[in-house]
Amino acid sequence: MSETLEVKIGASDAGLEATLKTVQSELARLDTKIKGGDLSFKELDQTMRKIAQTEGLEKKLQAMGTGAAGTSPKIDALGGDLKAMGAKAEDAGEKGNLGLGKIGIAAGVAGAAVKIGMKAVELATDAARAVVDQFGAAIDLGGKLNDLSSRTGESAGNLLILERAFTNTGVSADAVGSSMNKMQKFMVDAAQGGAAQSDAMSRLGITMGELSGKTPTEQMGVFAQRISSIQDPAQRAEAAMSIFGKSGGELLPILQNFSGEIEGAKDQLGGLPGVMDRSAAAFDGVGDNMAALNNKVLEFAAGFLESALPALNAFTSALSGVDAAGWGQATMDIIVRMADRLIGAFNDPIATIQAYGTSFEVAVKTFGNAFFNTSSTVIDFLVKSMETNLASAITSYLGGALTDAALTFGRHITESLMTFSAAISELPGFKAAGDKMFEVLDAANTKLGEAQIANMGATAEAAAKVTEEFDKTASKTRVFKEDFFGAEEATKRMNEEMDAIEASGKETRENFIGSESSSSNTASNIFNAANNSQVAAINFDSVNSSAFNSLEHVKKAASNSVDIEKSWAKVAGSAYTAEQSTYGAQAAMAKAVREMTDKDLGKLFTQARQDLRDMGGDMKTVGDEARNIPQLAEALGIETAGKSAKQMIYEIGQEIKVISNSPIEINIKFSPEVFAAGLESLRTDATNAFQQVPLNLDAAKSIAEQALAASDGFKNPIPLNLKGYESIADARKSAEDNFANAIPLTLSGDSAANEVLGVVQNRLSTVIPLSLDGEGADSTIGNLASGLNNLGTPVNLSLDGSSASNAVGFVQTDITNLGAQQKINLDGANAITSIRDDLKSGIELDVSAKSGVSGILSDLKTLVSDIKTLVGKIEPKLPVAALI
Amino acid sequence: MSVANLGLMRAFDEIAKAAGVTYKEVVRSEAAKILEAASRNTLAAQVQLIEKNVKAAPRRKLNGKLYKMSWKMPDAVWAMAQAQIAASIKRRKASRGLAKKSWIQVAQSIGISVSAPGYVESATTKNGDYPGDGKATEESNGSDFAIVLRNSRTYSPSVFDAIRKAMNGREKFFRENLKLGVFKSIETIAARYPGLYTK
Repeated sequence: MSETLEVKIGASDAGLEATLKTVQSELARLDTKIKGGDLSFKELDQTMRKIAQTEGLEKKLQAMGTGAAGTSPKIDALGGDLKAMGAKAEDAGEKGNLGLGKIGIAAGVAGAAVKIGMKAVELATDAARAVVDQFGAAIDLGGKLNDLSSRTGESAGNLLILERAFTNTGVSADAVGSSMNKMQKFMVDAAQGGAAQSDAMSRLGITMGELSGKTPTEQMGVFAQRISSIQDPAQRAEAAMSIFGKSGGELLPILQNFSGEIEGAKDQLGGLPGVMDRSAAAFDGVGDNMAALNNKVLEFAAGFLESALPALNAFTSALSGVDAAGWGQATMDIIVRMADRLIGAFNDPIATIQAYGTSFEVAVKTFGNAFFNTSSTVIDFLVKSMETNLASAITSYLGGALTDAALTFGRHITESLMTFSAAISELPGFKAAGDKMFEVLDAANTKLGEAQIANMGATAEAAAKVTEEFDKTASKTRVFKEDFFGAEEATKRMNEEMDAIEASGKETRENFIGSESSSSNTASNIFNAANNSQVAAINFDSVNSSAFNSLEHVKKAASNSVDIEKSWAKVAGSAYTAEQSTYGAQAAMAKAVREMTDKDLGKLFTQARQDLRDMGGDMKTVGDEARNIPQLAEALGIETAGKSAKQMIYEIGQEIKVISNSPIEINIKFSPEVFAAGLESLRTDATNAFQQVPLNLDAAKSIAEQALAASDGFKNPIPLNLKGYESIADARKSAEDNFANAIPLTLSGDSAANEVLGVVQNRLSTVIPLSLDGEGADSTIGNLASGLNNLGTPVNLSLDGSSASNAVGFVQTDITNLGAQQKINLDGANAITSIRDDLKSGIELDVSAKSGVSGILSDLKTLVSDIKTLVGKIEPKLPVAALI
Repeated sequence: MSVANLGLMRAFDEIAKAAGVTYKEVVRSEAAKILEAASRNTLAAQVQLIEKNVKAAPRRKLNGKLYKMSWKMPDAVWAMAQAQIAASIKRRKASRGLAKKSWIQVAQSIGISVSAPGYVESATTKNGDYPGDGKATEESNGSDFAIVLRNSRTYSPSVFDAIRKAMNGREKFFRENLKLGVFKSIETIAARYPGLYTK
């Protein structure tokens, strides 16, 4: 069954620290397991990956350049943890089976200096051995894969990939060999004609031809592909079991996605399969030899300890006076170097495995050399001692009882020196420590010898003799340093590889340390930036709040504007509607401007000028003088800055609309027909009135006189066209001209009309008094009547204005003088009433607004005055009797 | 198995500080983006291949008997086989996108809204919708906050790569933004990380 994928997103700094701690704890756990020797290669591989991941993480954090607060302490802590790994190994070392510390304790070597020194060496040894042990695990794996390869015919690298793929899908890696063997048996059986196998092959659609020439892994892939295509789960399981045996069902998870899993495993393992392909056989051989050699070494160590314990006791007592500080410094240097090597190992695990492979080879060969050299040296010492006087010198001074002990002492001191120096020097990277130990122990040996002899009460001479003989023996003794196994060359090679790893680790460590200050600075910068960001965020909030308030105010103001617009639209009765908002107007303008073509632009400019001309007055001047759009816009008070010609012409159009619309037009509907009819009626009535006047006048005289008076009175002839229709046309023209332009009125139409009507009625409601002198008038009227009688054809009358009144006076006199002789029946009141009625019916006023009364009144007054004048001119022509 | 991207955690911290929002808001916002990308990265069956594979099956069990499709068969059986093929294709098409949907279910379980194509949202099994594939839980500890995403549909291999790629992609996105100076102003942060300011 597939496992559940779990991803944790988040957790902040604490989580990061916790994760690092987890990784470090994993490292510690690994360390313990390494000590216990029960770490498998798989676990080693996983751990190496975790280490690389951790190290990669830190690099990534550095590369990110954020240097966030807290990063630098973490890096520091990580470095510290790496350095402290050796320290942790101290406890673990005590649990080790073959640790030098345990050997020392078991041997009762309890000197403080030794303990410190042993522990220090052990720390480094443990760290190195941890990796060496993993090399051992690699050898074990190589051996295992080599054996499996022999069993299955598959390469070690492919087997390793298969094992990983099996493990990834929850199948035991141990199943690889058995599954492959069962598959191979199945194929052999099928090839030999096994019914069940052939049937199964047939059902899967696989032929032997498809399988031949392929590696076992590829063959498994062919089977997997066919099995996975079976839709029915039961049939699928049955097919898997028929090929891979009873455990075939367990393989279904990997068979379902065989190629994908194989690719995934390859990615995970990187170059390791290649290494195993090349070296599995060698690993196998080395592993076998190692097992045998380990036993030999153990035998040697046990034998040595058993016989060396007494000597070691004395030896370690002497070590109390040794300069431990210098030794400690040297070992600390080595520990740091070991840490560098470990860091370098994290950088390149594969190279490290290879390097430790070499070191293991060195260790084996060197141990072999040491074993044989030590044995040879001891034997040689014993032989040579027989050639000197050492034994007799000791015997002569100390007594025979001590001879054996002294020899034993000398032998084991030598052995101890050699064993320790060899053991330490042979450890990878511990040559310097071994050499240093050798020097110290050599000095201790001399002191010890002196002390032993002195303590025994010997004389200086005897002691000197013993020492002399001892040295003589030692000088004769050949210290064997033969390179029986070619360790020197391997050591050189190993040192080069180790140096490369150490250099890599040192560089990484120094980079870590160097990065601390820059990380700290960056962290500080980030911290400041964070503070700034916080301040900025607060400011932003404030601004945001203010902006919000402003926005609310603007919205409110806009709303108010719209309300005012609406109110104004209602009050002014303009073209604005309640629905039309400012935004709408702007949008309309933008749309109109957007859609306006250059052709439209010209048309609109021409139209605007024409509209202005039509308005007359100042606007006409503006329309006439404007030469271009900006000029026209400026003349109309429109802002031109930053506006396009189209925008301006649009605004000009709007302005003209406003200008032409804002004054309220008085739509006075003037009806020329009615007016003409009215005046015609007036003329007819007047004619009729004149015809009704009974004329019985002796008018010849009067007329002659009148003619004379008239010729005097009217020096400048005044043409009178009494054809009423033409006069009416003139009057109409005059009225039209007067009313051509809209006249603003501020009064309601009804009241204006009523007022006009009232004035007209008022002016016409009273009888116009006519008074003429009787005698002159009689004569004049008589003459006039006579003249009128002679008016067959129109007669031009010329009257001198200045003397007209005199003439009228004479007529009046004449009329007065006529007395009762003349009867004039003039129905003046009726005539006047008729005129008034005609006037009323001839003029139709339609006043739709409140303003303009005074203007029209004035015009009406003028009109009435004109009529009155005309009537006045007719009046003198009326018969005298009409004035009675 | 677990997927970890510690650089992303570091990024969350920085985003929270720069954007002036809580760590939790960052984690939830980024989780939404990661899940959306994971859903996008997860592979879905191709319609063409579904049809091709179903039709390519050499044998079919009809009325309890196994028939080779290469055989000549009675019309009634042939019709039955065709109906079975059509039903199989229909069922497989209906379940197409379930792996992608598992990430959507993860997001939905903690109230995060993630967009996905219609066929993913409507993907279902023959027994109905199965939301158990994806779940998430939120964990808080003081100011720390984490979302644990669990996806049981790991037998779809691309699920692993999808979430890993999504997380790495998000971290890369952060690093690029850092390089571009996005975190210098709230406006640019809001432009690149709109989810931080969307409630």
